[in-house]
Amino acid sequence: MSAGELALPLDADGFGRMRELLARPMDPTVVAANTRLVAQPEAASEGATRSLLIFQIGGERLALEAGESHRVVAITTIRRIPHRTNAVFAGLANVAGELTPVGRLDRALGLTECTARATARFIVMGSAATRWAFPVDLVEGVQRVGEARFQPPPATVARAADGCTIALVRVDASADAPLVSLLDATRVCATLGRSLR
Amino acid sequence: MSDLGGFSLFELFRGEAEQHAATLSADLVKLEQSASPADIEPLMRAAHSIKGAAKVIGLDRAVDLAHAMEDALVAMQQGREIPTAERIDQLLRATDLLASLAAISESELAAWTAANTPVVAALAASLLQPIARGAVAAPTTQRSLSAPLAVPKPEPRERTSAVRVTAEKLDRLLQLAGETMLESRRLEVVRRQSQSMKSRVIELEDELDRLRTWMRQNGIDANVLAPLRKITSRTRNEVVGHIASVDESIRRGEETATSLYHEVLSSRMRPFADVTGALPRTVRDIARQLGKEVRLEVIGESVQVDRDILARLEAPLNHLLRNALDHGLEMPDERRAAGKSESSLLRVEALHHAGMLRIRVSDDGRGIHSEMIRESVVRKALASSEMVAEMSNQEVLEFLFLPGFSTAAQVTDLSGRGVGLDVVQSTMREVGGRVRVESAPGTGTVFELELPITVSVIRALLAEVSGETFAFPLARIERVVQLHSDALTTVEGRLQFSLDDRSVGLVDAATLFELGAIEVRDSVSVVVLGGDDWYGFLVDKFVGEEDLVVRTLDSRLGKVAHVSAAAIREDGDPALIVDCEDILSSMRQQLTEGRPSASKRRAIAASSSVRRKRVLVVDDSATVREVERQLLVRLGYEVDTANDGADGFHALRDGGYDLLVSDVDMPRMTGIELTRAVRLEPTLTRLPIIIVSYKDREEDRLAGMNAGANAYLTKGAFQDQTFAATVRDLIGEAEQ
Repeated sequence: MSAGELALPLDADGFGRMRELLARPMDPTVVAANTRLVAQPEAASEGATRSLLIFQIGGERLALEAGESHRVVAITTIRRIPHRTNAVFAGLANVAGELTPVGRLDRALGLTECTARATARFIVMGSAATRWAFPVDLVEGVQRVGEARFQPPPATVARAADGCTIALVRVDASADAPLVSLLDATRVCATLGRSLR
Repeated sequence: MSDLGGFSLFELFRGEAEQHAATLSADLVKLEQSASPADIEPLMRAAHSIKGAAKVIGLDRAVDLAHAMEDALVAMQQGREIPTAERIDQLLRATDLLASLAAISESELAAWTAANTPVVAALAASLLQPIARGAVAAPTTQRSLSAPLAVPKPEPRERTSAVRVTAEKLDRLLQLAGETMLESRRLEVVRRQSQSMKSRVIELEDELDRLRTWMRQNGIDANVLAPLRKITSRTRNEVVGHIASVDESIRRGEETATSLYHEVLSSRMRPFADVTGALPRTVRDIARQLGKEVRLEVIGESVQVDRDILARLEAPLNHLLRNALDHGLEMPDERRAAGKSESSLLRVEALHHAGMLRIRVSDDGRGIHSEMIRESVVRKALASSEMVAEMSNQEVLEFLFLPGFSTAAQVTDLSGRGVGLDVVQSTMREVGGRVRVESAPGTGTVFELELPITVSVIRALLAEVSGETFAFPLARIERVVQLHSDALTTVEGRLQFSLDDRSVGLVDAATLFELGAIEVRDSVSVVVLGGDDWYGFLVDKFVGEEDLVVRTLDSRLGKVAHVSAAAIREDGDPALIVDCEDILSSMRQQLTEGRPSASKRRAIAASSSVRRKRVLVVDDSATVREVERQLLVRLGYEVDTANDGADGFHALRDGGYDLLVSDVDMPRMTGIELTRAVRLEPTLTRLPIIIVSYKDREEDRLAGMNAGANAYLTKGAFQDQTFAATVRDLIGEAEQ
């Protein structure tokens, strides 16, 4: 026995008790926490992460930087404006006590149109002077995605929402999952803003 | 500076100085009339406060001036001096300087100091210089120092602590308070859910009872159900208790939210004194300048008025007073000759009357001679002498409000330029009020303004048009009628009906608003608008009456035709407040001048900002680009250019173009490729495209048209009208 080793004064009974201690069933919360930790091995290797608000319009998955998207609120009545309402500018809606212009992003981007569904929401974005609300079919939620999963949009025209897309993002871990278009908030506001002219 | 609530130190000083300067100005005039040492006390306090505030932020000039004012006031208080007109003038000038300091921004401070240092020094010196007892004042100074005036004591204003809040913040508070009110009503849903839960429990109890009966009938021991029955009845009691407490929450929540809302709303209200505070000073200065003796009575200073209304009231009120001082009131000798007291009386009264604010500006001057107006009306050919002779005095006085109508013998600095009374009237109309004048020659003139107490809340009739809710301000509606469709007749192809022996033309709202067509039913709902002439506005149905908090439309929309503002209804839905004047003028146009063309309608709709159609010209030759650009600009279009297909495509995707004009042979991306790309772009599929090329063979033309162009022209088209005509055919005139 070398000097570095510990000499434990254990008898047979002591070993038994230790075996019992190690073999006891694990606390389920500890198991869950460790599983979560092990389940995200890529995050560290993907470098910095960005928070994306992921939503769906007409079956297509789109995203906005979570910081830029203002709020997600329930759909309320949209009041059409005489002489002004058009395919994109739908009218004004009461969003948390403020009359906010509502734009049809689905139409502005040429996507399949939103349908009235229970999961539909308004996404409110922009500062007070450029604020817009636009209806979406479903809000999936906010997700952190590593930089490595971002790729530039294709150079040729391939996607409907291309005008406002700044990146395509592989949100799900599997390699063949469909890509999500990350929209640029400023360009979205500008696109909707053109409908007011 | 967050602890200062977003205000800088200088801004805080400004607020304070502004307030004290107003006190000084008003109280100095009062002191001049009363000459009572008791009136000096508040003046000294105001001067002292300004001095203190100026010292804190190091405004030395203001400190000097306030200090000199204080000294002069002390001399009066101790009886060493009497308040001569000259001294009061000096003090008022000093007050004005301090007020001017309160009106500038921090960045202008250095310039103010540089410009005013010598003025301040001179003024401070003269204030410190004693004025000899009995010093002769300027000859125009005719004051009645000895005769104390029966000026009614102003109601003592409550001195409560105050904080400064920006108007925007107050508006936001009001919005949130409104939202809270709606939120508390939404608890109603929870209540309904609990109610249905209660019914469900009762059903369960009934089922259990039936089961028990069945078990007994079949000789089974039903006692096993007892615990179950106990649980359901306990659940029912709990649900009933839950409903009661939700009810209580709703009631309390609504009460609190409603009073919060009204409290915030009332914080927009200010006393009438806010606009009258400066009047004694104005009247004094003008009277002195004219050599007239005038005393001003202000009644109803505590009457509460919306700050927006107060702001709109300032100019008309000042104008009426100047008018009275200049034209209405006579010189002292003229008054004496007419057997009146030398000093004339000018009175401003405010009171709430039938939910409106009524303001009377009256003088005891020479009055308006209707004969002079009649002559003037005939001379200016506004009406024939026969017509004028038929008119009542009241009708004749109405001419005073016509723009450019002035009977003043001579134009003075103050008034008589023929501008003013028409402005008073138009201001009143804008806020939904009116103005009347009454006058008796020799005894005086009364102007009476009647306007809403607030513009932030209006009572409106809600009506539905093509599924949208519109609010018609009650004050602007003549009548509301529900008719059977049989009552409608057609005259010269236009719908009309009879009301009080008048024939009222009908215009349908949905068409005017471009929201679709109105449904024709058996019963039609009509809002009658107009003043002298009535016009019927056909809506789908009436929804009811409601008090609405007026909100301005999003500024990005600019002026929207036929809509003046928006509001959020009690149930949270938006409503648009219509612009009745605008609707009336459109209806008049439709009914008297025939239907405006679609393009004219659009022009009306876009009246404030005419948008020109935009064309993108893509060509690799700078010369051709310029030729096309000039041609299109001459036609009135807005034109951008690009050097090749790739550039052009980039520009098009940024959007906003109504037409693409492209060459065929270009580097990077040809015109044919560009056309194909445009047709594949979902947002651009319907963009009209003209291809212009030197290639005039049929197969070239086909290639262009197959790619998706709307027209294929050769460059010879510039020589004749073909190019211009094709552009017009495709996108119409330049202005929408």
